[in-house]
Amino acid sequence: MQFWCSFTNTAWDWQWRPFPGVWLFVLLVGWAAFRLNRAGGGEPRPIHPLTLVGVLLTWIALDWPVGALGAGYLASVHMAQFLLLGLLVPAALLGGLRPEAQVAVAQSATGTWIERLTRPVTALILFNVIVLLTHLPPIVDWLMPTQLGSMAIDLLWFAAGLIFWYPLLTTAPARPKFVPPLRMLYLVVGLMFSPVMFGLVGFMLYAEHPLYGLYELAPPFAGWTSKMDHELAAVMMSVTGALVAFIGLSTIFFKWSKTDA
Amino acid sequence: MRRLSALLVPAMMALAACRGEAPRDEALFRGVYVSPPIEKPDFTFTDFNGQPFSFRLKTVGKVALLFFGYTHCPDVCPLHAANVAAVLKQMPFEEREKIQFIFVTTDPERDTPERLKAWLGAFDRDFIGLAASPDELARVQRELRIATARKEFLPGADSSAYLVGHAAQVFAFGLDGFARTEYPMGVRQEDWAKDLPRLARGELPPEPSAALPGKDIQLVPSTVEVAGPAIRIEVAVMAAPPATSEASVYLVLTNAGAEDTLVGVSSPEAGGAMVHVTESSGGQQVMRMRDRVPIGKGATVSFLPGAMHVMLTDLTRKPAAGESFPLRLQFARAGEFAIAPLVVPYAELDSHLGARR
Repeated sequence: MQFWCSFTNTAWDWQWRPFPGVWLFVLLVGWAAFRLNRAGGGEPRPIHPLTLVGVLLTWIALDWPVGALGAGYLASVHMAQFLLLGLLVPAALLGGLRPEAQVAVAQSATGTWIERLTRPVTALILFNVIVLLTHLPPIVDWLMPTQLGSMAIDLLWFAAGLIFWYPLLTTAPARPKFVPPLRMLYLVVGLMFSPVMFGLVGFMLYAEHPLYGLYELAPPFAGWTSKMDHELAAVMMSVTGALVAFIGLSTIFFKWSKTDA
Repeated sequence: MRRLSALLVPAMMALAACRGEAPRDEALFRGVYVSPPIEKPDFTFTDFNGQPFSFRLKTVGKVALLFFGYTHCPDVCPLHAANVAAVLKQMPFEEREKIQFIFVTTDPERDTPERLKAWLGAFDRDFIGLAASPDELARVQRELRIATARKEFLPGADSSAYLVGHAAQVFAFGLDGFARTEYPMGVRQEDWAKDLPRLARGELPPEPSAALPGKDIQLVPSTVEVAGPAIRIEVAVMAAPPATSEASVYLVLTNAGAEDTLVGVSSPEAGGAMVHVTESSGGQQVMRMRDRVPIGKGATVSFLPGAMHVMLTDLTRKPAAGESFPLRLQFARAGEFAIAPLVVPYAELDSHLGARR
């Protein structure tokens, strides 16, 4: 039994497999969200729906079948995992963090470190560097065949996503200089026209041969060619990245215009 | 932002340059060198149109890629077919026309001509599928020095849902009628893309001896004189094989006594057993057979992935991870050792062989 999904070089079948490491991690995320919901004192409140969505998406992204398919068969599913863990899950979890909890986090022992890591420029650099490194073919081909390596990539995406969204979605620590136009620029550079994402998309779409040996040589899945799989992964990355950025830009813009009005 | 671009631009350049492999000697072919080269076998099988197909006559003036597989194969066969097809599609017509992929079914019961044609046609309409009698098939496989394909029944499954253990390499017969390279499972499209145009142009892969100087087995001298049994098996593990056609065993042997030599390997549960050495130079790999492996006094000899290993072929069963598999080692002085290497997943070999890698 595997504790985390990884490349196994066996033909895909639809037989369910347990991944206890994934369950533990999802429980950990859920527990952390529950604890944070109670942070800051006051009356106990129900869990924010976005928090529930975040925990649910974490489970979907990591457990069978998405986790297993992404770890060992299809680059496009691996990309879906990245988009979930690196973009959607952190946004949902942070979006569900109540202001009292944000203050409690900022004032906690790790608050100083969180404040440093999530300064916009630092966060932008960290997010892009992690995204780049975790998508480099030698690193993917090296890490994905081992459970620890596969877990490291998944957790790095999760951490990178939290770092990226933190300055946008939290109000504590306060960042008075991070005004709406800068927030919009942050989203444009980080997601919509991210050089890293654009580069990866370009390589996956236009490289002469499949980028990742692991997915090229994985047991074939339902008639999909490796080329089609890589192309779908590229389209998913560019479309989802742009879409999430567009939604973020619109939200910031309309909130800003309301404030000015 | 300048900091960001200073960091990201070199990184993207690294992505462009980096495809996950060591620098290669571009003069060498990407396939595994076959030594000595194998002459094109002389056989006439039946193609998927019901017509006789003489391998030698029909492939004169062409590079013949010969592969033995079956259409129900879950991994190796569709991968090879898909990768060759993808590369052929990108080649200029003049070169592509000189390359013929020939798929000989090892499962004629289920691979009807219609199925064979449809399956191969899904990859490339120019691929040719052949079928033969079991005896003829076995003769050609022996001639090519590969394991004879055999059925593997899955426990508890329907008797018609069997797998077929078969050789996993594609033989590339050049324009001169000899196979000097073969392409095992793990060869990527970019490897095919490097070699196929060269083969189509009539380039011949160099003889391994000329390209790659022979390398002696590495003996690591021990600093301690040990009394007791002369030969000790420190580690013995088998990589869990995907099929019964072949499996590799890795060992670490120490010799505390006088100089000895490993002169034979065998297994009651394998049709063939031999010591292979994989040698590499500039990214090119060549596999050679070793009849004798000397083990010096006080020396340690390691059989490790990517280097020397015991190759077993035609296994009577497919051992699963956690089981053991019988193996006999015959030494000139110390005599015969019967051992039972533990079968482990390939990904876990490192942890068993540890620092010896």
